[in-house]
Amino acid sequence: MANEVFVAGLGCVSALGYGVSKQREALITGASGIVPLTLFETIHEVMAGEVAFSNEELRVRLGLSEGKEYSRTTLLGLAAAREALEESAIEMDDLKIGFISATSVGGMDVSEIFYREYLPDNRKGRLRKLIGHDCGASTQFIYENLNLNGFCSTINTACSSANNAIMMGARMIKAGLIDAVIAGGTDSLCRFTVNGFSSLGILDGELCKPFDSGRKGLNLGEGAGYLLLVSDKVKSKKRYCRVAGYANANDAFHQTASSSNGEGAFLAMKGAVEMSNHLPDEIGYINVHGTGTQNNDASEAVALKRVFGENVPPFSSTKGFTGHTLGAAGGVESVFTILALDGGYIWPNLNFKDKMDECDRPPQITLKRAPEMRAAMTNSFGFGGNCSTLIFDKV
Amino acid sequence: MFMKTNLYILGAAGISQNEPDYKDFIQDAGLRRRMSRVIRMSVASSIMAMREAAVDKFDAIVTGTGWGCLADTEKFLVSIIQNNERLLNPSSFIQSTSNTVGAQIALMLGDNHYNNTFVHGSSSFESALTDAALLVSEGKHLVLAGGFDELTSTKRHLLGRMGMWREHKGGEGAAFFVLASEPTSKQRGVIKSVEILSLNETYNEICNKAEKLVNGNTLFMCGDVSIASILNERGFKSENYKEITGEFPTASALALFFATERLAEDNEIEKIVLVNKFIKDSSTVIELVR
Repeated sequence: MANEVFVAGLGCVSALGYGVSKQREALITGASGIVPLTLFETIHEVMAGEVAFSNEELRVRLGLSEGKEYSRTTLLGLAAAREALEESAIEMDDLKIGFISATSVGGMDVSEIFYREYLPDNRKGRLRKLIGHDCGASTQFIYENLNLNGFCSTINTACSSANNAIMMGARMIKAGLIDAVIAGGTDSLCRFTVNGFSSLGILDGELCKPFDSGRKGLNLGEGAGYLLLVSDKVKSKKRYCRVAGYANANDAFHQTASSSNGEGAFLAMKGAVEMSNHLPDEIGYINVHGTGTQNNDASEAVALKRVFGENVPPFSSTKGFTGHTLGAAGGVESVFTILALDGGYIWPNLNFKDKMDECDRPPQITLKRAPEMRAAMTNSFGFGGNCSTLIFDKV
Repeated sequence: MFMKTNLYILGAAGISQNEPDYKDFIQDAGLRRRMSRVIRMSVASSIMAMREAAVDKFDAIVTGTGWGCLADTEKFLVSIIQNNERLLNPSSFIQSTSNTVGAQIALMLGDNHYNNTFVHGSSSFESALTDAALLVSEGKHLVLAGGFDELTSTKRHLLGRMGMWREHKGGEGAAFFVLASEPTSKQRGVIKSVEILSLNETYNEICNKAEKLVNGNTLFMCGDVSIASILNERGFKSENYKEITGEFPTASALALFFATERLAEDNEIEKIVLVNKFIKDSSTVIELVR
């Protein structure tokens, strides 16, 4: 196919640390970043994948000026997007470089502080706290900060957002509309999502157990993950891999629940595999969505079986490391998937004990070397039945 | 970001101040009640567009919203505060994500195809159109595209405190379009290009770009009073559509619907160029011909 798309840079901040090397280290040592929530007060006893830096610490690290209001989503996003761009060492002159970012909460962490003052008295609350509220605000800020000049947009399809951002970026490069794009997502923890998932009864008060028969729900997380995608003409320090396949499909079953036959997940995986021209058994690793909820994992397992039959490739959910980072999940987990492909690793699925009925093959539970791996896949599924799968190939 | 395309509009509809009887579009009373106003407006306008085009099978559904599902977001936020985080009803949380509209339409149609939602201020709808144009360039045939925003009383009050209503009037609405890769005998018009300009372009630069699209009897429908008057001074026919739509991030979607109506009413007009500018946000240009 004309106009191949390559991954030339990675950037990531999560509960595992600040920067891609910290992610790799923790994934190799099997050290989870999930701790009891400390970022804000809540009545819920929650385990969460917090980024271990305050907003002020992040601001200083990023060299941003004092006295302005930055949402945590913006700070996390800038850290990861900047890393992806700088690490690639691409010459920015004469290139059209876009930014497609995903977020589901936007500046909600700051808006909810504002709203607490506003609700009892609508003359109260500092308006500057609302500057970052809209989902597009963090994207636009990061775009300006990095001096980018190509397409700039934001995607919100809930928990599949970042995979859709990466897919959109790859498609725009293929179409020749841009030369490079930073694509992925960012989301911060906030009361809104903690209470939202709590009201749905799908938070596990202890460590989440993706794909385990005794799983009780998810742990929320926060972070940002971006890929720097480039066309063939762009020179970079390194080319990690090629974007070989992608597909987005809709489950069209329920606003939040996944169908029991995993139709959306099945179609997304099938579409991505077909586009990559791989035989199913050539996929060396799948970073599954695997949130740890009853519904998601059962549905995803059925979909895996429908795509791969009896030969489901080695897979794991890394949500036991980072928690579910919502709109950032596809970005963070694409970075993890590419690190797996690049280093020849299959990451462990933490906290797994017992196989679930829907899944004959247990996930990979200890770190495994897989130097022969040629292709790896990652799934992200969101509210509204939105299912999105990406496949990366070694170059 | 300039994208050349040929998107044939087979059906279009918009809802703003005059809301229809939603029973005609969403029969299930329970569903109708659970939907927030922006979801009702959006779903109903999508159905109107689909009925006109006599199409209900799509290769993709793409939507754009600047403000998102504000009423549900606020409702859930209020319940967190007032109930001190206890015994919350998840319905408003579920419906607070911006892709709820695209998802509800997919659910209603049983549509398993591509579904995407852009949330980037006043270029949200144009981002969705860019995606639609890309999809068509990739060989897809039928795309449902829409833009929507709701002006809740809180949003109105907050924007008022920010001084927005000193110069602008508030607005809201939803508009949906059935877009096809091939012409038919009954299309409303053809989108020839979509452009999202960079944030720092001046009024004159914006107008220079828009002016290049003039071809034959061209009407400028502008989403900004200054742009409309500059183009008028340069001798072009131009109007400020925000007098009708009011100001909201996806006003350009509603204006595109009005533009298709205008083409139908006025046979003299060969082309309409929509030039939008939302406060402190990127300008966008949509080129529409017969």
